[in-house]
Amino acid sequence: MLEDGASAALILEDVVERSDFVNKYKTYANQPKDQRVRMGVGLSLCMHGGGFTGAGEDKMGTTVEVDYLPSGNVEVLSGSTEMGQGTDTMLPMYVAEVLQMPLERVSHPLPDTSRAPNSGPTAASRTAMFVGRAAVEAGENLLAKLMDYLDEKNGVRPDDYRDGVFYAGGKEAATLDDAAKEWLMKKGRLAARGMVHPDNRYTWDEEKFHGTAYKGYSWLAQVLEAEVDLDTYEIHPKKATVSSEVGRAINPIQVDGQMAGGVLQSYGMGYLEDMTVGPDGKFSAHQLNAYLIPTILDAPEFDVKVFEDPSPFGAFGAKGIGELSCDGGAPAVASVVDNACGVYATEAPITGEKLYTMMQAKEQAEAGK
Amino acid sequence: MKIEMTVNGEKRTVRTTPLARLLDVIRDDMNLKGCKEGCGEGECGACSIILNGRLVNACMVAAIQASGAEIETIEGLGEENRLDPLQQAFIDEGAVHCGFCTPGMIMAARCLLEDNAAPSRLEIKTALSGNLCRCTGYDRIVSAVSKAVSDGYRPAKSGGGRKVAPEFEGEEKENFFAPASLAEALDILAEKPDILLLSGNTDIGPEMKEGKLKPVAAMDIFTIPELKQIRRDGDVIRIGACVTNTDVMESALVRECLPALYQASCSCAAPAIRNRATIGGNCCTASGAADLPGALFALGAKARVVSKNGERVMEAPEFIKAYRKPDLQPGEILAELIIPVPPKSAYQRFFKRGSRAALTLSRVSLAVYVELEDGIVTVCRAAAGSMSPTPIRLPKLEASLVGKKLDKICIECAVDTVYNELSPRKSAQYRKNLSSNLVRRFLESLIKENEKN
Repeated sequence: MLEDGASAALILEDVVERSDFVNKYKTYANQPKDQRVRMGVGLSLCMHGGGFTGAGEDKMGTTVEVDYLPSGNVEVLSGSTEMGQGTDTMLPMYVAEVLQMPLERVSHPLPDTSRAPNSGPTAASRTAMFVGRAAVEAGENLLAKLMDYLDEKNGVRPDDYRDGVFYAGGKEAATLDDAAKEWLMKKGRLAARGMVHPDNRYTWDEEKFHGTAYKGYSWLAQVLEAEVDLDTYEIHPKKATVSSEVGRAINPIQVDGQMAGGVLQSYGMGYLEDMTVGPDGKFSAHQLNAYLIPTILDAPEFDVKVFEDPSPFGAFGAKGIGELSCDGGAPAVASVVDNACGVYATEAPITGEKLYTMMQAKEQAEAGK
Repeated sequence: MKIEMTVNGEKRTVRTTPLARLLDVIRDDMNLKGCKEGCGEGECGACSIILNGRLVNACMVAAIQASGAEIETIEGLGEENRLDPLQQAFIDEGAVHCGFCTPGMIMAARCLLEDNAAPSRLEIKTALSGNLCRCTGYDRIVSAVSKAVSDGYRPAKSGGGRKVAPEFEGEEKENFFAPASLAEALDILAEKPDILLLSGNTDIGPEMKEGKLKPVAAMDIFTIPELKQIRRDGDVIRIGACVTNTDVMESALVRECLPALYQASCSCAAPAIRNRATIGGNCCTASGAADLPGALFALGAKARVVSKNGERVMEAPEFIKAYRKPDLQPGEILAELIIPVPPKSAYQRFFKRGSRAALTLSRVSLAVYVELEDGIVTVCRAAAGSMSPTPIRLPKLEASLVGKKLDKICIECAVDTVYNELSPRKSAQYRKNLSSNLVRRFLESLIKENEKN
């Protein structure tokens, strides 16, 4: 059951309209039979749950630490590894937002187990949604710590924090930096931790596999337009129109790039990337010259639109988007081939050999009629 | 061995071994870590740098070949606190995700913009087609390059370097050579007939990396002037063995007279490899999957081999006599390919079906050359690649066309003939069918073109 908003209709309608799918589908379905270079258009829809399934995240104990350094800069310490998905930008964005300080002053150093708490694995489309939540709480706990300190010092606990300044009863109590520097001088290290806590709005029955499988789903619909050459049995992606609903796009430019990057990977899966295991148990594609991923000339032009329907659970409304973008490309490629040539592949990748075999089978079936 | 190079405008002297990879020299000896090793076999472009004004994969250049070179790496762009506008455009457009491909991408883009101030989208994509990115889907990378262009980014042309012989040391003096002329090279070859000849290094480099090849002696012939020329000589065009694919593509003479060879060169790998891989190397590797030999066969090329004692000229298919076994006697070197200038009435075409749009070996390649007189085929030469241990001529297909009027019946006959003539080992039906489709496509287009003329 999906507790939060299901955005399937929203993004489907958007992508169909922006890509002119209906007209194109009809036109391409009626191409002359003997036309060898054909066009096709394919539509797919997918969703992906963020974080580990069921109670996985509740049991994880995801913890993030925020350190205010003597230099006045802040470090966010987690085990989440930057590998191009934007963690090193996103986690500092969360903390800078909570501490209301310039992003330039906040960084996420390379994960180091001697310093960083256990924030769980970098996996399962969980960093923005769950690790982010712990980072936000860590930032809030840092502020609370300083409020306690100001309470102790002034006898009044600040009741407000705006633009780097604590206020008590409408009066300025101290700036964050002054309070933090005092703390550092008097008490030493200034750090706070935050965690992801179990949330009783969500339940999961591990025995019956019943309840809330994921605490938020992101959505993606795409229309791929591609050329299919029946002389060479080649597929050439031309234009990809992508609509996605991601909760809250924390770093919009990165989200856009993640969508294009993941979608292109999945086109690779759809017609190119052929990883088989030989009788000797070895991978057929053990080198980069045998495992062929799309080059820039294989990539279509992208038109990506991102919708936001903030998640009630994820940090600042974020949902997981890591894996989502890779989910729907292969079916879109299969649908392109179906629209262009009238054959529907039931396995990927649709290599030249497979397309040839499908076309032969179709011709034989038609000849037999 | 001691070599001197100009790296990012600074003179650098390095002691290394002749066959060390330039990639390692840059990363380890010069401590310039922006040049990344992804695959070490020319498949990813992460180690792209500009060498003597051309984009290359540093993993496929031997140190012996970099003596006297001018090299630009990512470290040469911008300053400590001020990024190069191209780098800034990559950041502004979100073109950097994991960052591993980024230095190579930027060097490839810069190299393009040194030569082309206003590239089209396709030209940008072509220039970056040897640089793999798994994160971005490439769209934002193209946008970043376009943005730099529209912001008025105009990098100065990188220097072309000069040929300086390396200072060999100790035993190297007996085993490694960088001759300045063909005569000098032939003298060395007469003394040491087993020596490895190093040209573009795009096949040999990966073989050394894999340990398949452990040369104890080598001679760099890549820059020997006599082997670098493309020129018309009466009724023939002579192309030196060390002419690169890029040289072929940039030659007005080739584009005008030998479009099939131009097409074959364009379809080869990607820019950084085309800047190094040579026409002679492609023939001497004598592999079935090579692209240029097919085009050369269809164009009726001859190979001229020379030694200290004289020369031999033979048909190109005779030269590429068996898999990995070119017809070279001890002391001989492939000097040039000699191609008859086709008459104006000739039609020629090279087709390649790789696995993807760039950086790919041919699954099927086909080259066809036809002369027509009053709609009758008077001359036909055809060749196929990737069907057999070496590229092959297709005598049955040729015979089925010569003397015939080019019409629908003739085309279907040719299509059947080539289908039966080919016997590829793997995916046979598919590749036979594909090849015959390409024959049909070529001949049908030929009828149309002929009607126009």
